[in-house]
Amino acid sequence: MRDHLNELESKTIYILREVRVQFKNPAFLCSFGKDSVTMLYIAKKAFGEIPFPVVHLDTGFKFPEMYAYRDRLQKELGFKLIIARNEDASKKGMGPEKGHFECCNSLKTDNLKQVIAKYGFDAFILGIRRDEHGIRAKERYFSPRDNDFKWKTSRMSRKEGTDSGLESLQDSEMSGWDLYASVYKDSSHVRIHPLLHWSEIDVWSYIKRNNIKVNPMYFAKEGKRFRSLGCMPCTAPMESNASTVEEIIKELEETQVEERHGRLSTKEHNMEKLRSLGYM
Amino acid sequence: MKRVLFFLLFILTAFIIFRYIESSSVQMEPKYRKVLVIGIDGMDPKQGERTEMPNFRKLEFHTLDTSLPPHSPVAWTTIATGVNPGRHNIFDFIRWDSREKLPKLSLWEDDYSSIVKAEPLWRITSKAGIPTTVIRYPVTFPPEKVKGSMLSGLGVPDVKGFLSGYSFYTDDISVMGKKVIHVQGNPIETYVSGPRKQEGDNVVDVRVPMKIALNDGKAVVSIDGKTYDVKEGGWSDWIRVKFKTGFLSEVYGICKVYLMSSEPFKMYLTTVQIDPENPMFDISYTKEYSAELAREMGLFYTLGMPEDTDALNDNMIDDKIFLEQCDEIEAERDKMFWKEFEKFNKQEKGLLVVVYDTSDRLQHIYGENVSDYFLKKDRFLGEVLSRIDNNTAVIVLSDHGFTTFDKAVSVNTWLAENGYIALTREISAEDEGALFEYVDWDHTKAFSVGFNSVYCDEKITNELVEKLGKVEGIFKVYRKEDVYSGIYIEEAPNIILGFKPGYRMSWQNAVGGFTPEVVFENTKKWRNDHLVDPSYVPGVLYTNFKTNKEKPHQVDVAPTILSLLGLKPPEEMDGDDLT
Repeated sequence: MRDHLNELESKTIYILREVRVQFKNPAFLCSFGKDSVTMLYIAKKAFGEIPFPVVHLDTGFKFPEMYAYRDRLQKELGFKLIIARNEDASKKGMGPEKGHFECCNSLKTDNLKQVIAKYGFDAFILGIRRDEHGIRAKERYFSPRDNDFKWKTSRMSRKEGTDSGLESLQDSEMSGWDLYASVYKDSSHVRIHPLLHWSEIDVWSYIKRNNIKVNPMYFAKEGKRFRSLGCMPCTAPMESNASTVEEIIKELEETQVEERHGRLSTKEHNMEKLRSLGYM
Repeated sequence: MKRVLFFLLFILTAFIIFRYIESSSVQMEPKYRKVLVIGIDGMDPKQGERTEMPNFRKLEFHTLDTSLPPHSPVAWTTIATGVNPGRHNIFDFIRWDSREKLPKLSLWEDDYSSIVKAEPLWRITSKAGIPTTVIRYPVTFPPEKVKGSMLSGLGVPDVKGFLSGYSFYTDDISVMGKKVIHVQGNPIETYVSGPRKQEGDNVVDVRVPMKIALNDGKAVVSIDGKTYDVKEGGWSDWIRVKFKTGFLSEVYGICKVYLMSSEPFKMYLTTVQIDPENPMFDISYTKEYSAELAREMGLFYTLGMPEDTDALNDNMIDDKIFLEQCDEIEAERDKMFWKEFEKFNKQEKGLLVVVYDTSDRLQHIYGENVSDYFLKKDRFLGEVLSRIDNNTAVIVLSDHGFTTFDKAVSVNTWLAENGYIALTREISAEDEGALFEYVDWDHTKAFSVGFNSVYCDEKITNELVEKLGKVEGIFKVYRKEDVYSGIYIEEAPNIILGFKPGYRMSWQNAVGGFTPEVVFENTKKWRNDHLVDPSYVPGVLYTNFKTNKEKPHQVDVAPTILSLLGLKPPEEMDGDDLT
């Protein structure tokens, strides 16, 4: 039976197979949230084992539950786990109080640069989805990054007058034709997004059907649950009573609010009202 | 026969009662049959000194002492009511709700009813049967019944119930901001964010889909089945948006877009304003007056403060776009003025009050460099003066002047550092702790909200007055008992701060927040302000009649206008008749 979830799964497997053919040294970049874990389960299903190493960018600010869950999952699925920390920056006291951007840049981006330098990865497979965020809506399945990890778009390369061969490849990504640009020159690495076409509700439905064990923090405790899991200082739970996968699916069907946006509390509303005075 | 006599007696009694009600204010011999008041928000006395302004020079000039503190809502309410804040109840842009322990805007109650407690002069003239029309006077939302028309000014909210809120649409992911909406593709499928709905403890925006097709430097914006063309570097016409807020309920808003560029795509959308033809709340008296205006002059900016200084401050629009918007708002106000002036000029008696406030926004940004604006105002005044008859008194006035805003002061930070505020965690640059989030109220003895107000335990007032007087940037510290009188003095902050020129309370402080430093540089485009000690920022008073006071104050204006029209000013008014 080929239903909606099977379609999604087979497209993801197709992309993962393409990665194995086209790249010499790829790795999964995994946050151990529901999306990246779903991706690992699909890889296991497709290849019988997890075919590439799994990199975890550990900022040191993750939830304790997450670390415990990660280690349980490694035992269950049996993958090569690379835990990467930017020890230098952490020792120097890098943290969210230095500014959200600074912190992410140092503990994630710089950290990833060090991982590439050390292991020579040429591709990272991530579990991002198109419906997740305004910015991600423009992502491609195969997304080349330059040395600063900036997204190389066709417009950029055209402007710079270079001929990296990227634009024609990117533009040839035609959904429905199973043609994905996966041959690259001149890129630091390529990011691959095999779950790009999944929605949040698809992922939960897949988790339900395949009985995937996700981080328990997704389920409501005392009226609150996490909808996405980042670092502790920058992630807040939402009001919810959904304590099972079924209840989460039901909740998602009833709400149309963007996943990373959350809803405004009355307090935020009051604040916005005061700010609208514009007396900056 | 008896019946006829009875009937006549009845008619006579009714007539006497009616006359009595109509003239409940004591009548005197009017000096003028008509009074025309033109308000120019924030007009600084320096602006009128220019030699190239011959028409202002035809009038008698005085500086007009402003209210403490010199905020537009406080000052304009003082002018309209002739009483001090202790009687009219507006003490700052932002007030303290002691029940909810929250700072709130002093423009309305939570349900958008008026918080002004004193009687404004248009109510008195209306009761006396004098035709009275008031256009865009600050703090007149909600509008009130007058013997004529009223269009509300500062305080009219947008469709969300806010005072402003633009949106910026772009496909450039490097453009960041709270009001930025990232879009993609061509045609672009996005939305206009509208009114808010309470859903349980949360608040959600109601949205309407918007499609934008780009072609050759042009955009076609489709909303609700209608299309609007906009060229690169140009404005659209007014766009009407219908928001479904519930089963059978809908709200209408109007907005405009400005297309900066189509590649990368950058488009500014004004605050979605209340539609004057289908208003969600009344923004005029009569209810139909706003629609009548819109039918005659086209749709117009209805928001209380529509000049988008926020978008300019956030660098989402540039000066050119901001100034074009200001020009348009000014032109709309002119149309309203002339429509009402033609009517007023033909009347036997009457009061017409029109307030222009783009002048205030321009001076906040450009300071003294706004001569073009005031030269135009002079030509406008020339035209007005050439048209009036001998029976018309003319008053041109402003609510305050201007000074620079170089340094911001956070009095809350000072109070915390000096042990008057107890905090439950340390202050950091990233988290200002707005709305007193980290304040331990049980151990807090004083705090500041708004731009000049300090609330404290009465026992420490004297101690605080003395200490605050030594804080950098503070010129004078006032105790409420020394400066206010009246039954609403209970609502007043215990202490009112008068800043030196160049200093202003920080925005963070105004909303109950903290900053790492007590005093720091202001780096915004909002470079000028007037929230200092009133002695530094008097407004202007121009009259075409002789006045009798060297230094008139705002409280004198209402009694003067009533006296000009032959009405005895009520005893409760604090001011004097200047004639």
